[in-house]
Amino acid sequence: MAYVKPNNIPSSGVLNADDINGNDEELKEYINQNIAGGDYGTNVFGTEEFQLGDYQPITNEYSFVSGIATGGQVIDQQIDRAYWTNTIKKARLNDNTLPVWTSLYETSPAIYLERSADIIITFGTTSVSAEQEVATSAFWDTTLKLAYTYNDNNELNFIEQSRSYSFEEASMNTAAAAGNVSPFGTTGKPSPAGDEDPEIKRGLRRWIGWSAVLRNLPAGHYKFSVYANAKVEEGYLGARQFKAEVFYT
Amino acid sequence: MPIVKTSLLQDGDTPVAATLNQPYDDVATASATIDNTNTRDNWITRFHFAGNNACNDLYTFKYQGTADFATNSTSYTTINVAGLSEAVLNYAPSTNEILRVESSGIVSACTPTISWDVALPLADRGKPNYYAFQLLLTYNDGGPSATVSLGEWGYSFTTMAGGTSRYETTANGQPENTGVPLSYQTFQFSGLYIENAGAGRTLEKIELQAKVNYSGNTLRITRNNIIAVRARR
Repeated sequence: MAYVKPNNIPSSGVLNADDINGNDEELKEYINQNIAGGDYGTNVFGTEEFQLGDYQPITNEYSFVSGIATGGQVIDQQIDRAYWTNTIKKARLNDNTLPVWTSLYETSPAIYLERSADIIITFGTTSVSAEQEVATSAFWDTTLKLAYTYNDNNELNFIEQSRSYSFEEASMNTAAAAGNVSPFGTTGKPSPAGDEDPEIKRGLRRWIGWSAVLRNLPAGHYKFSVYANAKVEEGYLGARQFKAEVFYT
Repeated sequence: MPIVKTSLLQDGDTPVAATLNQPYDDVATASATIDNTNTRDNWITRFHFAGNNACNDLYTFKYQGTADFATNSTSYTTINVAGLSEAVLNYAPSTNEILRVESSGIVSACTPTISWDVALPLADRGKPNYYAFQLLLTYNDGGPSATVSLGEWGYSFTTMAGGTSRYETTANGQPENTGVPLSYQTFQFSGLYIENAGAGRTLEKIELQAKVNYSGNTLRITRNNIIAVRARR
């Protein structure tokens, strides 16, 4: 409610100190604690009045106002690839219980939330599995997942909404279990002559895309990243984009 | 530009009522409709929005487990892994208000049996290979609820893109004839709904639905989500 002057100073007579002091006191209270939403005019504020988000390039850290999208896009850079490879001994390459997660650096912003918020992460990439020299029954199902750390706790919190695979072949007519099917049949290896059917090569390239929503994250520092648990000895991501949107609750 | 004016009083001046009342009257006038005069750039923060008038509202559904929903229905069926895939809205938008909808998920071990043209003369052009998703918005204008599709998005069971040169042969099952059957592919799409039906419409829910183009192929869907962002005006 707008300020209302409690005392009118009369045009004659002795000036009453209480009139001045009362007006000042009411003014102090109004300025300090009584400006309400109804006091603001309608349709008078432009976007320049909204607080800007902040970005610290050295630490790749973002702070948001709300609902502002940011992120990296290299979707037009066909040769700018992010390589990933397994660092597991060959003997364990057909073991899905041994995840070794590699962070994809360009998908790793640090986000500072001043209060609790919802975050939408959108990710898209072309994924290519290129080489797997392990003999029989090698796995090709490199897994990609979003994960984050919170404040000074370095434990990764994986977001299963983002679970995705660089390659997983089905079998015609039967439902194959994850991880058991090689695109190169029983040998599990590409032909040394490189004469595979083109359909197989097409099967090793795919688009991976997802949106993940995280509701009611408490205030604090978050470090996000997409991680790859590589099962092949060479693979890479081509065109890719990563976007984070913050909605304060 | 000064909004609240004060007068300079010097020693010996006799104050008059108009001078003394001036700053209080100016504050009373200005505070009735505070505008962008003399307010600092970037001063509005999220904290200035009242809860029920926030600029954005989120409505979401997510299933992130590993169970799956299988369908070989050739008409759209709402995905139901551990409950229906639907985001409940239940609000009445204002005119021209926008609802942004996104959905993503992953198929699991599908069982395609036919990815090629069923019969000569190749009329199907690979149609059995396809499956599709739909985002279905349910709304109510006062009578029975009605629906509108926010979009359809199609995918294929194998790498084969159809065409006129591929059909069932004695080499059925070979990659050059059937394509490489793919599973665990992600799907991801988005749509917009703009409220232009006039006052009185209530948006009730958004469902994620799927169908196959040939009932002999089975589509399996595991994790999936729906994200709807209401952009208030």
